[in-house]
Amino acid sequence: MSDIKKPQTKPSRLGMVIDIDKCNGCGSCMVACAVENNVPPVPQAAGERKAITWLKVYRVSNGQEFPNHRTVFIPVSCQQCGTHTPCVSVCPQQAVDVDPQTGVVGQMPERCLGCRYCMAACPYHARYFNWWDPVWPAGMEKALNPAVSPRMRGVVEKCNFCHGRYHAARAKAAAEGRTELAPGEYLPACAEACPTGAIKFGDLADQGSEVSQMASGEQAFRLLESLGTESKVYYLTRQPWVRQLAATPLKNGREEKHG
Amino acid sequence: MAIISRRDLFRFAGGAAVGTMLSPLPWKLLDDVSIWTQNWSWIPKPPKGAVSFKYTNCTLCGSGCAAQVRCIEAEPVSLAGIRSDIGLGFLCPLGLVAHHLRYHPDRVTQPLVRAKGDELKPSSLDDATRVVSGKLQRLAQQTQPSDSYLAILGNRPGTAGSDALLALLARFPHAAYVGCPNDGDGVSVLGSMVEGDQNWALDIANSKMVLSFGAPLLEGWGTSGRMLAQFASSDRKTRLIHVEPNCSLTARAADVWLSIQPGSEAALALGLANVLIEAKLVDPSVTCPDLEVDSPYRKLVAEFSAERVAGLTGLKPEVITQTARAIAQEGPALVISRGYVSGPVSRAEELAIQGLNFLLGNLDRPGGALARPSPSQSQVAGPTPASQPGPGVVRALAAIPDGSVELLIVDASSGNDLPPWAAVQPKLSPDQAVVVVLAGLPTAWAQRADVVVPSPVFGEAIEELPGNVDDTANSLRLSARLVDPRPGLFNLLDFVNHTAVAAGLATSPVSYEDAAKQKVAAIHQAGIGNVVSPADGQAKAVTDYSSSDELWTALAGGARWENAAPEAIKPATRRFSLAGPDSGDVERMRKAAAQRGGLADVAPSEYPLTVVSAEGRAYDSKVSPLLAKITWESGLHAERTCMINPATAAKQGVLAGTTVTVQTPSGSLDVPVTLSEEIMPGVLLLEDPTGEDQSGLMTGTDATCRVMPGRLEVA
Amino acid sequence: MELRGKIGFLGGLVLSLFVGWWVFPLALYERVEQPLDFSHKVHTGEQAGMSCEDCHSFREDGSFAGIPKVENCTGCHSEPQGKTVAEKVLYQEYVSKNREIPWLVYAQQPENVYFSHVQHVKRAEIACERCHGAHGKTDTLRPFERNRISGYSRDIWGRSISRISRASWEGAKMDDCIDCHAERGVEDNCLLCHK
Repeated sequence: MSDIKKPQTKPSRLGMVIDIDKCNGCGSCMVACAVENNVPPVPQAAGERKAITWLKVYRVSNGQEFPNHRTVFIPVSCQQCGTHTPCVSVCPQQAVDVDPQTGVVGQMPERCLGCRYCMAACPYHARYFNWWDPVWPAGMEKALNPAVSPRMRGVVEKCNFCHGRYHAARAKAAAEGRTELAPGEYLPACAEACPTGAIKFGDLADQGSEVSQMASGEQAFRLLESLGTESKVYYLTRQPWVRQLAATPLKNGREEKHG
Repeated sequence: MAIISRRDLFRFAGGAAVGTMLSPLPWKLLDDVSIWTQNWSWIPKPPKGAVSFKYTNCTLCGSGCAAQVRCIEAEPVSLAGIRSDIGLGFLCPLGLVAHHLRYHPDRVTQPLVRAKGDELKPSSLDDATRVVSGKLQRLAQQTQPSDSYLAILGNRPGTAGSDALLALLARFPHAAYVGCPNDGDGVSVLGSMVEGDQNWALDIANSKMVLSFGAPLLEGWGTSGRMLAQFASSDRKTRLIHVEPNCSLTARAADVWLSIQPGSEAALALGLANVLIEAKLVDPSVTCPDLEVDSPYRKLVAEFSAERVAGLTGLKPEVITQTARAIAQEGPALVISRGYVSGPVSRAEELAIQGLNFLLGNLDRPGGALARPSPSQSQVAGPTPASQPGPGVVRALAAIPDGSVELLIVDASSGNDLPPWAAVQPKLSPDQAVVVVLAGLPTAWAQRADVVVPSPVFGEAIEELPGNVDDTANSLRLSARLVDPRPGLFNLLDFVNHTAVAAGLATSPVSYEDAAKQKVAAIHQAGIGNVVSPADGQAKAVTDYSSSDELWTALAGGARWENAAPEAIKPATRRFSLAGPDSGDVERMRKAAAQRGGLADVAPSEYPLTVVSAEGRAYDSKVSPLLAKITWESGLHAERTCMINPATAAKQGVLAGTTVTVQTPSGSLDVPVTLSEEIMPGVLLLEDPTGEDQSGLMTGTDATCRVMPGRLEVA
Repeated sequence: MELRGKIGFLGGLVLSLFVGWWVFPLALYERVEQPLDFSHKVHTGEQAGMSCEDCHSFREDGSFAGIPKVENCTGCHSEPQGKTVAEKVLYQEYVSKNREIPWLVYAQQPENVYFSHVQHVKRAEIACERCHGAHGKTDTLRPFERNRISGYSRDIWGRSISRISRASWEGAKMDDCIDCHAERGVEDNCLLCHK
């Protein structure tokens, strides 16, 4: 009980490791994310560009013809940049900031004025704009998650590593007299929903954690590493063509990494 | 001077302005107005309350995966799969939004009745009951020579509700109770090749190698979570050889992908059997001693050499030989067929595929096909009288005489598949038939009905879930009642009971829930098996439950009963029988293999392409608006489209996104085009999220097919 | 400027100051009575002797039950316990109909605010009175003074429009939270308190 009055929790660097060789493109992670974070459905006539998918699984191909054509699936959410956060540096409202305790880049839609500068700045196109007020079918608003507040139109939103679950985990720890969260006590919805266990989440600063070991392994890489964002979402693959693709910026067509 | 001049007013206004700035009015107003603009009343506020976790099993498809439900007070707000026991299944995108289903805007909320030649109109339960009970009375009282049938579609063999319905149907001189097609339909064909009345389950979890003939293992086949855990990872313990023309998700993940010409599965199966026997990779006198050397099957196999099959499938002869070697020596491999995923099985094709299981000695061994007590026998102990079908009840669609069904009751309420309309329609009486459909959402079947009865959806009622093809244990799982349903919803048994009472055919029949409770009581009495709790994965013996009510409460809360070692059904010998009820099997197998299921009969100039139905699970964004995230909002999965190889599209003069008319000898369909290098050139892959062929496009000699000759025109 | 001009200016000044400082706070809020005149004193005093946590409890997962549901009241009040008007209303309108009492919450924050009681009560060991005042000793519920524009209680801004010399429980604006966090050197990252 003595550690409960400690003023701060131990600083951590929350990150993710996604094994591309295990991802089979089912999309469970995307749906679980939308359910957890009350992401609204978007009118179909608006098209893919105006859709809101905090986590988006991209189809990436090796460019070959049948039967040598291979697709991999790369789930991309906010990459939680580390040293250099483009969105934080351009926001005129300070509507996004980096939590020094966890390293999570937190988006505050309530401060956002909707200029969308951050959307242009984000190299991963991981930020989405609410073109409309949220509309769910009648009655379905009763099934929304109270841990995350719905956003109105005109604001930008993005992945925050499920801050609603983070709040709940911290509250539970406090109820039990702890300040530290045990590894695995808090898991974002995508990591929980992935049927193959391709998405792993944890503290990159903890040497003994699974994610920190995987992230320092040979197969690990990050998207657009040359930009120097020092993002905290790592990917694993044994396929060299996928690593090459991740390093290069984008081409036209479906096989690009952003919409 | 008393007149107030303009200058006075300006001075006053100036003073007022200064004073206002020095007062809290503008600053507080700004603050309050900004708060007001952030709190529009039409932005929903999620209801608050205590968080609790419940357990259940998903009913959105036949897999019945286990789920943990997070509830705020009584309202389910999210679902999660249970990772600690992957054998229970794991939630796919459909399961993750199962709790939205009851808020679907198109929900069927009241009975709909169609007057002759008119459209479906909202009606009352009394009206619907009157129509149906009138028919029931007529059908029950008919005498010879009339042979009008009462047919019920949607049998889930082995469930308490199914057993109770069979008992009721015994009163009718002519009745049919046809099962839900499912992934295990191929294995049923295996069952028809041996004597004895038993169920077969595939022990995939313990297989060292699997040879899959198109089974979409990573796209919703069997217990999907278990399949994903076993096959999706590149460091898996089970080797997978997958046979499929196109590079599906399963093909992509397989260790070996054999891309064959569509429709040549039977040819490949016979070719592999040929090599197994000729190269002495198996000893049939050991693996299936009843198979005589001069049997029609052996003679048929001898006709399909590796070279001949290479020509039919498009594979190289050495690939066929290598594959035969691998499945004999590296396993032996368990041979799996797709079962009903996008259409019924072709019996001829299945016989060829299952023949391999016999040759490889896969019956009755761990990692192979295991026999279990059949659904007509109690899972606990011995056959029960109620579960014996009456003398007039037929169980197969094919056994119903054409044009004889006067009353058809279809259970379209849950995630199970149904036979396609094209297969059922010939059985209906041309002028007297009444089609009753129980549905929660307006499915394609509901739109063909004369009477639609609203049924409960996920979470609204207790539902017993039968096991999957890869469940080797006998098990009992229930989907829980999580919320109070609106009144007036019926499941199949309760509706039939209700109308039977109205028709005077029954007085106080056992309800669906009571039938399930009785089954649980029988289990409790027999004291067999364990109950596994999804919350902690702990198993508790049935004998530890002091009353059957306590056992029921556990099961109704998502726990699973299982009898992991049910008495094995093992006759002295396994008679390999291709005769079945119809000895034309060998001839049909020959034709299926040699003519690629009839495709080779068609002139390429007329139908230069081949139309194939997609096998994997369809994510129809109409089930929940959030499923759109993985369909059109991201382009990850295609909805209602025809996928074509770009080279083929170029030759046909078709661009991505164009709407084309796909034509086969039996029908046509307008559909937009998606280009993909994952599709074999010359093949048109149809993704149809409704899961049913509404256009009659895929109707061949087997009532419907998965593979048809086709052509396309730009619409 | 001539005297006349000065009078005009001063008149405007005085009038606007009067409106801004006196009329405005009066008009800004509307008084709404609580649905039931609940007496904390009766429940926490000698007669029933309950403490805050008996009704405003924490659940196992650390979430705060807030204002209790009517079933909590029914625990003791399944039959009328006294002869007051409030008792009668409680029984007739709420307990017997099993209807939730539509309390007006003084401390209500906007939807996007996440305030964790367990962190402040269990971890920081802050007394209830520090933020809620001597609410537990009141004999009657004061009317809810609803801000006509924002809809929230006057308690959030504080009684005084100038916010000068406030007690610790007068005011629950974000600035007040930040001030206390800064004073104690506690983490104040945005997403910690916003959802």
